[in-house]
Amino acid sequence: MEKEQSEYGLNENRRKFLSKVSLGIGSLALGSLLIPDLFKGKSGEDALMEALPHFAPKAKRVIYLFQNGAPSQLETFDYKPLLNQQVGQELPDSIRAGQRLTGMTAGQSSFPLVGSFFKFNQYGESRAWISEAFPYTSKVVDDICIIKSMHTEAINHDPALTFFQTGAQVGNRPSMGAWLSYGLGSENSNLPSFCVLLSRGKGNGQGVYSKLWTNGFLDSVHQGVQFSASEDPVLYLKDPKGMNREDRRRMLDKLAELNNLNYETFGDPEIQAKVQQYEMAFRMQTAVPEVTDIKSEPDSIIKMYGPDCLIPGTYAANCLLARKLSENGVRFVQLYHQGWDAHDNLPNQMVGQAKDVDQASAALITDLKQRGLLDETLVIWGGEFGRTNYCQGKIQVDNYGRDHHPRAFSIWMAGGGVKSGMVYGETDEFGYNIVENPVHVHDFQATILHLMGIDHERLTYKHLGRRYRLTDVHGKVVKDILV
Amino acid sequence: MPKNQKIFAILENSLIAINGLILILVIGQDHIQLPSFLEVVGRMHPLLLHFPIVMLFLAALLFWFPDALGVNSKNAMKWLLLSALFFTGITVLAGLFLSVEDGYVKEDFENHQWTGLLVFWLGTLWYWFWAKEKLSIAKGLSLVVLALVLATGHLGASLTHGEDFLFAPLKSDRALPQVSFEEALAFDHVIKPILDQKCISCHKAGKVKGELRMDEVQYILKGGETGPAIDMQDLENSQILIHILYPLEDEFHMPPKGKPQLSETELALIQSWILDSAHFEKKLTAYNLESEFIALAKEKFASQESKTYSFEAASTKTIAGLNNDYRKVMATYPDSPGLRVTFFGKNQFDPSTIDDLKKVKDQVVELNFQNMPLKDGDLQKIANYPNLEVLNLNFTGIEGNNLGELKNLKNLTHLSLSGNPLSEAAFESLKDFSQLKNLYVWTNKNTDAIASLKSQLPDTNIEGGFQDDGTLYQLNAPQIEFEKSIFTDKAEVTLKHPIGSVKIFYTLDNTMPDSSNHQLYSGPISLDKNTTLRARAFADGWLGSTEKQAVFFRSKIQPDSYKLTFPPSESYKGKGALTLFDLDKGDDDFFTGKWLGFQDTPFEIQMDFKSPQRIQNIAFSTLAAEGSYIFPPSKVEVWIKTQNTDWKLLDTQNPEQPTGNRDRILQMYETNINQSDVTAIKAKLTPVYPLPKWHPGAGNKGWVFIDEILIN
Amino acid sequence: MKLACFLSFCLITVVLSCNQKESKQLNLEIGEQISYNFHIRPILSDKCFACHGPDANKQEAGLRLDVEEAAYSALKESPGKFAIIPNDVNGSELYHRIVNTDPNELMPPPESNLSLTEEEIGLIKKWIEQGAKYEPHWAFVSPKKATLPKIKDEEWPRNEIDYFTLAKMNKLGLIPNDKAEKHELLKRVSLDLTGLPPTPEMISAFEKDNSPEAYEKALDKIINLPTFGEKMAVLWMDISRYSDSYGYQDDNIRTQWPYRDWVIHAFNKNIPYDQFITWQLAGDMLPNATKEQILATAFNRNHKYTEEGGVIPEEYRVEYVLDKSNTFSKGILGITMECAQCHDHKYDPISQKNFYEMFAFFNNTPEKGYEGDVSQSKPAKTPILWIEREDINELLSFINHQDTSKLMVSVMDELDTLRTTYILNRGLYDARTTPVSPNTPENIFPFPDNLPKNRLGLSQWTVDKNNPLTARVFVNLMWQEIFGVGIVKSTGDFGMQGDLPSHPELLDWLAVDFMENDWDVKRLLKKIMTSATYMQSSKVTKKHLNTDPDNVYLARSPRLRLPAENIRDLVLASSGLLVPEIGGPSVKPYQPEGLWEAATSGRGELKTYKQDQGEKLYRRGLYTFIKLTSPPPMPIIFDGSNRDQCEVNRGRTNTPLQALVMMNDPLVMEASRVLASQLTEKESEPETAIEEAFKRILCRAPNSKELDILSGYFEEELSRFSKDQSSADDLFKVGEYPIKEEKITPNTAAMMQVILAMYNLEEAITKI
Repeated sequence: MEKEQSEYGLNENRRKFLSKVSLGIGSLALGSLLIPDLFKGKSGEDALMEALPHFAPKAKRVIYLFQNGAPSQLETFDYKPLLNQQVGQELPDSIRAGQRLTGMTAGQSSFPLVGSFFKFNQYGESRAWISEAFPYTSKVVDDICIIKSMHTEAINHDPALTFFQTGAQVGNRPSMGAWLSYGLGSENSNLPSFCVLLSRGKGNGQGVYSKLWTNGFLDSVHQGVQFSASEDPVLYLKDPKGMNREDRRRMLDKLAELNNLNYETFGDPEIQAKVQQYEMAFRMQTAVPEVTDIKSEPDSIIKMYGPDCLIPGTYAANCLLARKLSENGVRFVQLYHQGWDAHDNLPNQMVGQAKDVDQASAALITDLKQRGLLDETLVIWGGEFGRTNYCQGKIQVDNYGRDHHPRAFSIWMAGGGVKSGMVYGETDEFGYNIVENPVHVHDFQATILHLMGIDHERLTYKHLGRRYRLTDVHGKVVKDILV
Repeated sequence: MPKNQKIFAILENSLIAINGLILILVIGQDHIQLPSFLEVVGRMHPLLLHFPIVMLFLAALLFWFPDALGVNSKNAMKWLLLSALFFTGITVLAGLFLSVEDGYVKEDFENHQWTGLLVFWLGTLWYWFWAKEKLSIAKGLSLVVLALVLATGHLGASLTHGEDFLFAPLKSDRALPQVSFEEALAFDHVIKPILDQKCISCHKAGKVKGELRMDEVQYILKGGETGPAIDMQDLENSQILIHILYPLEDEFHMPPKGKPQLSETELALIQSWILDSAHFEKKLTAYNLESEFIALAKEKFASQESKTYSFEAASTKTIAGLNNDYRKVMATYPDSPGLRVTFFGKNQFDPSTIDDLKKVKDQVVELNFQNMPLKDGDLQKIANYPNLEVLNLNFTGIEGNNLGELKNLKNLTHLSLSGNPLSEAAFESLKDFSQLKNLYVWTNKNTDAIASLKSQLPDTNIEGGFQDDGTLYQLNAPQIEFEKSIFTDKAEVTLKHPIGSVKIFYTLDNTMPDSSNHQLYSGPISLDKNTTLRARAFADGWLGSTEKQAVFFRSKIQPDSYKLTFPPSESYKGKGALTLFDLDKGDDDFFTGKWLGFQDTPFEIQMDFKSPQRIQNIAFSTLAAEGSYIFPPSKVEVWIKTQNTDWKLLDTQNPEQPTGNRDRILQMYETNINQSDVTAIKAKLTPVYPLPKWHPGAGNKGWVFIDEILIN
Repeated sequence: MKLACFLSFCLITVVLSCNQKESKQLNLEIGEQISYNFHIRPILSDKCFACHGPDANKQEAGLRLDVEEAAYSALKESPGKFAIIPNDVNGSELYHRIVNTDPNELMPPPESNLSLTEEEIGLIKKWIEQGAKYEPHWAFVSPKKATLPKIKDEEWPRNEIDYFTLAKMNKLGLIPNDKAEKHELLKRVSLDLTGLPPTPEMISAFEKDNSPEAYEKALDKIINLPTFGEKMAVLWMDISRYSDSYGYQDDNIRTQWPYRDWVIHAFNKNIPYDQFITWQLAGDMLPNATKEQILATAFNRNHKYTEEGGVIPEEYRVEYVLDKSNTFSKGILGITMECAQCHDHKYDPISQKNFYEMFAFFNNTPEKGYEGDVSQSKPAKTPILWIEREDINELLSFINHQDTSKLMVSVMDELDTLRTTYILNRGLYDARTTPVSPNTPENIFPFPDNLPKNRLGLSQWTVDKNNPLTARVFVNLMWQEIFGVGIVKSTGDFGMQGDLPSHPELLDWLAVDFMENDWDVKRLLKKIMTSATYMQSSKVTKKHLNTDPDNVYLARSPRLRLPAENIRDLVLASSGLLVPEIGGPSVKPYQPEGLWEAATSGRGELKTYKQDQGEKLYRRGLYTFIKLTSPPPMPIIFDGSNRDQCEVNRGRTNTPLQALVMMNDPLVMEASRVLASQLTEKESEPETAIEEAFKRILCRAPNSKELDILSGYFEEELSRFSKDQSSADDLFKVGEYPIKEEKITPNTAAMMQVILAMYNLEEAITKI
């Protein structure tokens, strides 16, 4: 009888069971396999939403190396010799064309151009220009696609970050990772499908906000799980001292027994859902440490990423961790590295920041490549906007600052169906406006979804009477950079 | 049963009549003028046609299996066949009427018409021979008739439901080019699919809007009202081009507003194809690879590449059954029969479970075992998957001595063996894997093996990965851990480094530790006086690390009372003067409330001791962060008062001022006192004014920040 | 056999050559008369209005289907044809378009990714046949008390509510569950009204009391506990998006908590809802407003404020006003106006003009868009209400402020000269177009001329007895609080895209009754909680799962997992750790290390998490400090609001992370430890100790089976710890609450484990 009932609760009623009780199990455990079932009946789910992905995906997973605070394109990938020739000269109005400025430089009476403190060289088959601050990145230039024509709408950090991650400058919308978790579920049923890793450099930091990895109106199971640098990578994961696996196992068995007794009286399928969640938690407790354990990594890996990768909470460590999570089926790994907001003292700050990220980012590419995973993993490197071609405050050749510049900036993408060894888009000789192939943030997002096999116009969720999309009502896939 | 006979007679006669009528109509088809009431009859064609079909089949049925209906099948047969033919006749007539209406193009319904007519005529013969007991011929005819019925039905359906309505479901989506880029034709595989999707619904047989048909090349060239759809003489003015380029709002825009529009790529494709002289037969490969059309076409193929597999898909149930918490089995892409299998959780992995997959051995095209502990022996299990394309064996620990087992996997294109202790033999046998497109064999030391393999497999992309070429990398500095950097009598300090194996060298005398000058760290260091600790890490195979410094202060004596002459600035007032003696060192963030900030007034403090004190020195711990207008004080003055002497200025320092921006640093100004009977000390730190020229705030007031005063 | 095959074969051929679309027979299990509001508008709104709806700028083919006249009139683009001709399906182009097979004719067009189901088409067909009658949107018509419906079982109902619910049940052939056990009832009542479990004493007292009015007595007692306000406040904090920091990047601290104290106070004093709203919207504008009334207006200042250097002030000032209007419309009117911020609303008759007229009400404050960066940050922003000691001693006695310093709270104020409001093109702060003056959407309920066109007028408009929304929305919120789902499921959206009421007449009856009784909140709750519907047991039968899996028709009482805050409360209360102090500044209990540190910009007071000590560790969940950019993890894991914006209903998910919290959160372990010490000290018999703990945590006595299992577990753990004292010590040394034992015995350690297990039972954190 009980058996029959439980069968009943789980199957007959699976729609409700999966959707209301535990999208958790749903998208985590059954993943895309059962997505159609998942998508029925759920409050905001769209009856229209068909099985995902919509078409054969190029990338199975994403690793997003977010450079938080906005690295200057002019000291990284956008080589503008003219600025060095015209140091101190005014930014021509014809170029600025009355663009709005942040409150920080709006008051400035003059806008003296300033060139890169760092030398540039050309690398790889694409002959891409890369600044000397990124020696390691220049070594993998033939594996990446540099986009020099990104542009965004926001001019301040918070809205710009939020825009990049959620498709809207304000409001509590689901972030990209949450959308993908909702759309594709997790490959590995014992790990969260969306993980977040934080680190900070010495440069001027701007903070990150949990709303950047929020599930918004999606089910909380799609929220990014923030990994911490402590020995307990996932919150509350570690069993307390004095309780080993067997002890925990025994406790869970007792719980299951008691819960099932209760189920006999109340017949509520949610009781069994609960039991299953405890089982999954138990599995996570072994899976996560297994995956995050860096001791098992060979020395050569330590050398590739740099010895910092052994210090939890560093960017290098996070890159290594990102690879491990990703190769174990985590759909979306989001890194944030703070410290790029160089309003002053840019050359010094740039040296430090570049040192933090250059080697490890390049290592991540090489590492994925040598495992044959780069083809199916999309790696993204970039900030929330760019920096002005003119100096903020007083100019010195070896010491200047740059203000926020949403009009044009550079990022790079690699693997997962993106053309390698490509430079896309072009800015004017002042590095101020885009003159060729502009890529808007929504286009960027549409492209990522496309690579993951999703039509960004069809990944929707109905909330408070309206169908929402990551790309709002915009976004065009940037076909030119696809393999 | 005379009644019957009578009816039979009538039917037979009408049959002849109809035959005649039809004959006339067919001959004079092109000249018929129909009275409208006959048009109505014509339009009943689609309705009528159901009767004859059913009846003919029933008749045939009865004819072949007489006993099916039991008694007097002969009579029944006559009944059926006659009335069947009667209705066939009517239907054919109606059909002919209908055909006269415009909108229908002769070519399309001609076949349908003829087969239809044949059905009727041959049917009549069938009846005739049957009546004449010439059964053999009748049998033959009956079959032909049935076949024709089917044919006619099919053609009719195509006519109304579009080309090949019947078999459409069997063919996979026309939108996707099923051929590879290499074999694809510019028109048939790139352009036509677009036209089929977006145009022909209105420009086809039976629905010839603007007198234009686009379902076949000839019509496209022939064109419609406004001229040839594609004008070989004057490509720019091809009507297709003109119309698709009209703005959406324009009434001539095609496809019309509200209908599915051409995507940007599609539009670009059509445009570039036409301007590139609209080749109908040309192969894509024959195009100049620089041409825009090819670029776009390539992309189209790339984005639509979906393999077609020879094998059937496994049932969802089977697949679901194979999924569990540690094994994911799923289609490689939507509705692909091919399956990707991934194993997770090395501690839960059991090689024997591989065989569960036998159920889907044909479907498995991707196998991922990375990090799962495998034995070489397990490889032959894997050899059982004939359609395997991608195999990931990274870090499975195999030596690959019997990799050969896999060489017969003809479809295997990706093989990942990275991180395994591959044996000589393994590399040997890899040389036979010419089917591979990509091979990943990264391990620490196999440079030569890889090199020779590359020469053996020229067409395979072999990824050797990161090779430790012996370049020495620099270690990272050790970490210095301690409670507080200011202590009253003792401080314990521990040194750590993430790489366990390193040696940590340190000095306590503010000298750079190196191979010659150092103490080797063995355990916690305890300090009892002001100390600068400097430490570096060393290890074989690495360059010595950069140094890590920490400064420790002892503050033995605390004044019994103290008072600031001027209050600190509102925004940086910490816990007031108390802040200076709480032994809580501030870091380089001056918002924390551990710092006192002074700008308009100097920092000036008097410290009193109830009982005379023996004091060696006093030190002021300050911050310099020029970027934030925080400078070393322009002047540091210290006065003391002893039991028997009154205030006297003991020391004046003028700290060196920076000449440019630098990172924030903590600075210490120390004054030696060395007196035994001090009762009070007064100190004054004066902020810089004006700020130097190089500074953004040149001319303004600078700040002084102080967090601790240490007396020993 | 052969015959059969043959015949079927023939049929196939027939179908093939048939060019008529075979229209499938559909079976509608809905009632005879089709209702526009209940059957048709949901379809049209969802699938058609986007292009043929209220948005004047996007009416394809000049057709709009949301208003009768337009839908009936001749089609602009194909003269002579009509979208809808009442009673004439074939004459109605609309029908032909939705059944068309030609993708170019078909509506909705394929590329919209929308499509109609067979059933939807059938409904529309039937509706047209029945005369295609339009009705005004139900929620925009003021509610009327309907007469109580006829029901089969006159015995069952305990008050009016039950007539409505039972009638529905009868329709579906459902019978209400039996009455719940007494202990279940008390747990339910106590959790619903105070968010705390009943003490064993309360339970046994209630179980002993067999007087007919026992239940009502208990109810009255509980609803008058001061903890009532705390429970209600949780909901209101979500609505008023309360937080203890400014949000945005540097996210510095602010002191809005006195407002929270007021909300608790207001609910406890049972201030009528109309007044409650009036004060929060316009307390400052009331004739000689008291500081309490002004404090209430902090409601409109709880949203985020930027302290990011270099922002453009106006951009953010506009953002703030937007938040105010959105919160007002979503939280109090239950309609979402956001959409109208950029363009006319696609689904509801709310134009962009309407939106900015509403916006105008809140656009007249002296508030600044930017008051300097974090280095100049103050705990409140202009306009500021200063609260002196004497205020607290007198009028504002409900504010729990321990030390002597003055308090500052951000509140509302009016400019003397009216700031002109403009329609902002695409919602962009710098894209001003036509000026508008304060007004409310005429389609909801026109703004009476006699009212002043300012916030005060707005508040009067809001609580006007003829306002169709306010009462309905609040009544629905309360229903949601108790039954988990509102009568209207989409609590925040009573508009056309929102869900339809499951019991429309009941909703209206409650709303009217609520207003007739002077918006008396406690009375409303009692009404609901004295209904037989509420008092049913929550047993789930196959029948239930068959006919009503989501329990829309309430033939059983719902089993609901507790909201995040109350899970914490339950753990604290049952273990005796709870510090019952009410109100005061937010507290910082245990939190996993490094969360704030990892996310901070390195500036501001909140860059590091300075955990509190002592009593502050054991306050109710309501008081947990909320830093917007890094909200406390436990509540978030349990679907709590991140307070980023107004929220009216939380999800109720069930995830592995929740299991991890209950197993490993130091608080739960500490609670188990403390309770274990208490009990082992008091009871020598483990069995009795277990029973006692069970009663405290699950609010009932364990049955013999359960007792066996738990004692079994106890024995196992006991023997384990007797062998391995160190594990016992390790486990026991959790939390800062002083350990009484001079020596940790295997006994107590084992008991701790058993209790921990109890906390991890599904039932423990479930309202049954």
